[in-house]
Amino acid sequence: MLKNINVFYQVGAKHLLLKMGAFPYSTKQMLRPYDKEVLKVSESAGIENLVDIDHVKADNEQQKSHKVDGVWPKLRVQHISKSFQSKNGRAYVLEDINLEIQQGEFVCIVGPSGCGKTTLLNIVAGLEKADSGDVWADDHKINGAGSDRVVIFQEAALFPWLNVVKNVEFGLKLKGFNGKERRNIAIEYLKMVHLSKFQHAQVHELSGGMKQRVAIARALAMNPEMLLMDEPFSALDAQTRWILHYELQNIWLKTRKTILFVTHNIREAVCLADRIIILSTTPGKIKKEFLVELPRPRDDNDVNVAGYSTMIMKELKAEINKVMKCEMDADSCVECDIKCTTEGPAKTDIGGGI
Amino acid sequence: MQSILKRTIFYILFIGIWEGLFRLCIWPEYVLPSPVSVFKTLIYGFKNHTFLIGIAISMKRIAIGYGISIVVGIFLGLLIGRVRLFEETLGSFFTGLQTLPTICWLPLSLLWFGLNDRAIIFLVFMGAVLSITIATDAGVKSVPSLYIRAAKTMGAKGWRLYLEVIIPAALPHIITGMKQGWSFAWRSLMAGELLIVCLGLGHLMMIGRELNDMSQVIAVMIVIIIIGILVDRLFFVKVEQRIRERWGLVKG
Repeated sequence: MLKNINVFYQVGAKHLLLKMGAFPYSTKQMLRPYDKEVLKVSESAGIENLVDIDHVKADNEQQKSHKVDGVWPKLRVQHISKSFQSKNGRAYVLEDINLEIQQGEFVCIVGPSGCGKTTLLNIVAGLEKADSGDVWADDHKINGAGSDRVVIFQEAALFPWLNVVKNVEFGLKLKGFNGKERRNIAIEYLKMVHLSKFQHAQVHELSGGMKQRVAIARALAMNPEMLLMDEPFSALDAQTRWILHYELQNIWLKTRKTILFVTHNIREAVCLADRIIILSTTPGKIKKEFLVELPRPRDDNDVNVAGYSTMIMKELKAEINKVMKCEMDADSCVECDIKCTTEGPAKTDIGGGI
Repeated sequence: MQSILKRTIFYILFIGIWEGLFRLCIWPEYVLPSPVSVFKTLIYGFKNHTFLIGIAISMKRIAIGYGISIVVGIFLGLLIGRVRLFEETLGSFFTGLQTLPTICWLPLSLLWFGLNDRAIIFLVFMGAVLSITIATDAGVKSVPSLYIRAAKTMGAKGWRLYLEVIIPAALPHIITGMKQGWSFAWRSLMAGELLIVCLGLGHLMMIGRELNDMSQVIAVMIVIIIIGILVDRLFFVKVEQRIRERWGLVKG
């Protein structure tokens, strides 16, 4: 299904809303960076867009979400900023993040480590508070965690005091389903992840991949509005990950849940997502967006997937270098270089002048 | 199999030496009774129900005192573990109080409740409550925040979060605290019953002392040991075993 996609694209300090028509689905144009080319499209589209921008701006000032073609976007992140106090002063993790996700979209956020992608996901989940900005789910503002946005963490976070099926039932119990209902639902979702045979097993008896599948079943059983996945497969071995990529795609095709997926693995992002958002680091900002239009289910090792990964990698390389420079050798980062050059000459004079 | 054999031989030797010492007549019978007379007293005590009544009365006291201490201890432990204010105030206070031997509460207990059951129950309660509180506090603090975050995203909040996640996750610690609390409570109960004379096993021992009947004193001691072992084996060891299996802490 093709839909209108609204993206805030940042040009300087100005937010431009690009309203694009139905996206032409073609295998030639399988990946489409939101780049200057797209900007041109919007310019040629005329005045209507400008009206749209003003409309959105006014809405922003009223701190409200807005409908797109009469439908609420599933998720709308508005001007989210977040900083932490650290030893070396304030560290700005996220700066003015704007993002919209439509019903049924599978969006991956990719960025180097420490770029704040997990922080962003936590803010969307309601587990952390942003310094400024709002998050909207449908027509209501997010205020704290809720069962409409279930998070799947890097570790499965299954409860060891419950067996597998009771873990899946956990959220349903809180929602007030009676024993028989929740057992039926739990088994249905365990079947979806092919683990109904293990329903009475204890958590510690499962492998890492199986645990993560139970976590997925547990999240889906809640029938949430969206799934938030925080590097869920990064602690698994390559084989298991490959299986889970396949399984997650099948689940998504079946359920069409809105998914926000955070990862540092570009191949994984290309394999899974409709849309990939690249975050830059310190402060985390949206650097670029890519659309991935490849037929599903995709394979990690598919030539096209590999091709696009390389393309995105180029985009990300600069950011990764930035992180590496800071982590590997703190003395050589930009601020210090300036200091060194101002103090440097006096020292070299002593030795060099003789 | 071999260990059972070794143990049997040990006990036969132990009783044999005891009987031997008795036969040597070094000490008079009211200082060292023979194992046979202790055994006879034991049988007699159960036959005429005095021991059974004593056990029932003691068990009732410990059940009430220990029961209250579990509820209060877990509640206080949760408060201290989760609320910074209580941790900084009550937390250090309780750690200090725990160094006080429970029997030191006896004078106050007598003053507050008088020479009766309630004074003993208070002693039992004081014996167990601090261990349970401190263990629950440690347990709550060791709950991985991941569990809490996961539960929150599934809609757990308020008392449901405590009941469904924090308490079960802290249960291994809580059980350890309950086990320690039980042994303190059991000791306090005996001390209380020896000093405040109103039935119970401790009282039966005091009767034996007053009648110069050492075989009754030793018989009651054996009963106390057996009850202690039974509670530990039948309850705590089983529960700990189950938790270890469930959490995957047992190897093999």
